[in-house]
Amino acid sequence: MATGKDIQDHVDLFRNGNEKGLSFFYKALRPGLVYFAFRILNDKPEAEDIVEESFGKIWERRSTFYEDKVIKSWLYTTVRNASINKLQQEQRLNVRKEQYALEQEGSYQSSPLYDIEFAEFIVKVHATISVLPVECQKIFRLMYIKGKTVREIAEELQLSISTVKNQKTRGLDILRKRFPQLATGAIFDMLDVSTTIPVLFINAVLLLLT
Amino acid sequence: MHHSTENLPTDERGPGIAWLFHLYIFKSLTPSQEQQLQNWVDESEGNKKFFETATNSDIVINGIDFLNTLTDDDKAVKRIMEKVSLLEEKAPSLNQKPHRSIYKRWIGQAAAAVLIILAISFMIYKSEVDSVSPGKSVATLGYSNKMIELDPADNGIIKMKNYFIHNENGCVKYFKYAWAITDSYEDKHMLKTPPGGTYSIMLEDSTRVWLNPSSSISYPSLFAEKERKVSITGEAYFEVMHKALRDGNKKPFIVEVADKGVRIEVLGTHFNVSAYTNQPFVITTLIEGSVKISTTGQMIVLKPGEQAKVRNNNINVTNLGIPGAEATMAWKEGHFDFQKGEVKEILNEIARWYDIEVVYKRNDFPVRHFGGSISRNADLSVVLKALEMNGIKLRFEGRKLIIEDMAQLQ
Repeated sequence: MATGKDIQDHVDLFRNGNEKGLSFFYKALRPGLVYFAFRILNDKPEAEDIVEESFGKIWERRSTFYEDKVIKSWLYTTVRNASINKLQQEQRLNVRKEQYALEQEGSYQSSPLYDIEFAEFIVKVHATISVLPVECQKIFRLMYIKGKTVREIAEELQLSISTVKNQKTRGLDILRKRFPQLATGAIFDMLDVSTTIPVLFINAVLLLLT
Repeated sequence: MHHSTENLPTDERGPGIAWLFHLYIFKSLTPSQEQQLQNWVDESEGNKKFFETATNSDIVINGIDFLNTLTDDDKAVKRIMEKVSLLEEKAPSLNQKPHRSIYKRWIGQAAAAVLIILAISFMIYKSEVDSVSPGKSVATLGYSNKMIELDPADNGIIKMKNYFIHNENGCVKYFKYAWAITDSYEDKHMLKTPPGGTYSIMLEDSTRVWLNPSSSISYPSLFAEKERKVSITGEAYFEVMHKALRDGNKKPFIVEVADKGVRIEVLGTHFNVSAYTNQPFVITTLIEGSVKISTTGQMIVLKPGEQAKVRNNNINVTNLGIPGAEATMAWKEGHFDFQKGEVKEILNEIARWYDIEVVYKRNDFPVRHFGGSISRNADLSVVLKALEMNGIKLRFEGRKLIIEDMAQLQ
């Protein structure tokens, strides 16, 4: 688990040109950045290229970064500008792309800050879900993202109600075992443990992102 | 676009907004976090939209599925390092402190500075004047039954099937995709500035238009094949891009001032149109190229430096010369140019920019002109001082500029 000191150590490694520093930030920030670029470009390979190029650009300037938050915001800004430039270039080329499926056509994608928060929100939800086995993931998606009841989920997946309940309990147990050090947190005590996921557990990457 | 990003909860004050939404999805918010989230959502329209997007299960599921498709690229880090070290061998200074480019705009500000010093020495205006702020970059964009507030700090984009719109540094820019078939789009958009607001637009054909306060331009998102047609109210400065039709003829660009029955046809040129409803004339001033102005009864062609005033279908042309013509569009460069016209016109322009009202104590003030120029960023007190120096006696009360007397100038 990454603590504040851990992060600061990696910032120092990063600034001093150590591969571990770059690797740390690359792993932690890449998913959010690629998703962020994808929301603008609707093209996965291009989004990945832009993110890699942006890491190249920040690595060229590594000696000027003293804070993880600055690294993060610099990367998001660079990726956004590069994506919009790309979009402007493509608009002159006769390449038709499939429309952006994620959002309604014509919706205003406003300031970068919202988009960054949104990308990070998705990364967090994804990170929580990914810790679980596939069959648990299905149930957690329906329950927490789609907001369905145990009965509805049982119907949809053609399972018995008790199976759904068991999978849910199993999922919660997995999260607890995976991140036991957070199970004693003050916020956790206030929650109804039987019905909620102790999401505070999945903190390894997330500490970085908040 | 109104948003209060500065109020996003930060690390120092608690968990970030992404984190709160994440807890929200998993029903794990504490009561106080729930309140914090609720307050944030209620804070602005932008925040509300964020909430709608983040609680749209299809969008969230799509996002998660997308992240599932990402694979770790173990070699990427090595690749990035090698590429950069190659660069550094060629240019070792790259990984140094960022250089700062220093450039400043002096013209106009210098003039304002002189006036500011003068103004300080007088200090006759009450805080009432000080509470009035100059206009700024702000506008409303109407498209597809939506209205959004534009803010130059917000680099938003809107993506449509055949084009996208990018709001960038006080300009709304339209970019057409190469595959778009123009003739089939009759999508009407409108950009509108409030009193004290200014904004610019780059249309799909790369034509640039600057709007003065209380003005608007209506235009199709993509132009038809044969002609480009827009209509305006208020005041706008145009830099029209020359476009050719398939047969080699020029693709006309038409500006309509519908409520005054004036039609301006241009073929690639720079000009200013002033058509405020409280002003009897539609004034077209040509800087470059040529324009054809027509009313129901008359038609004339303007040459650079000429100004046409249309009133009740009658067109009057005067030759201002290029410097005089350029003075009419000083607003676009961020100045009030006092020599551009009659005092009342200038007072109206000031009123629109500072969103104040001008009241004349008498009706029989002489028609007169005066000189000088001042930055539009100047405080109102500075502008009023400049007016006084030009022999205008005035008072300022409750957002009203009361003109008491005007000396006749030789």
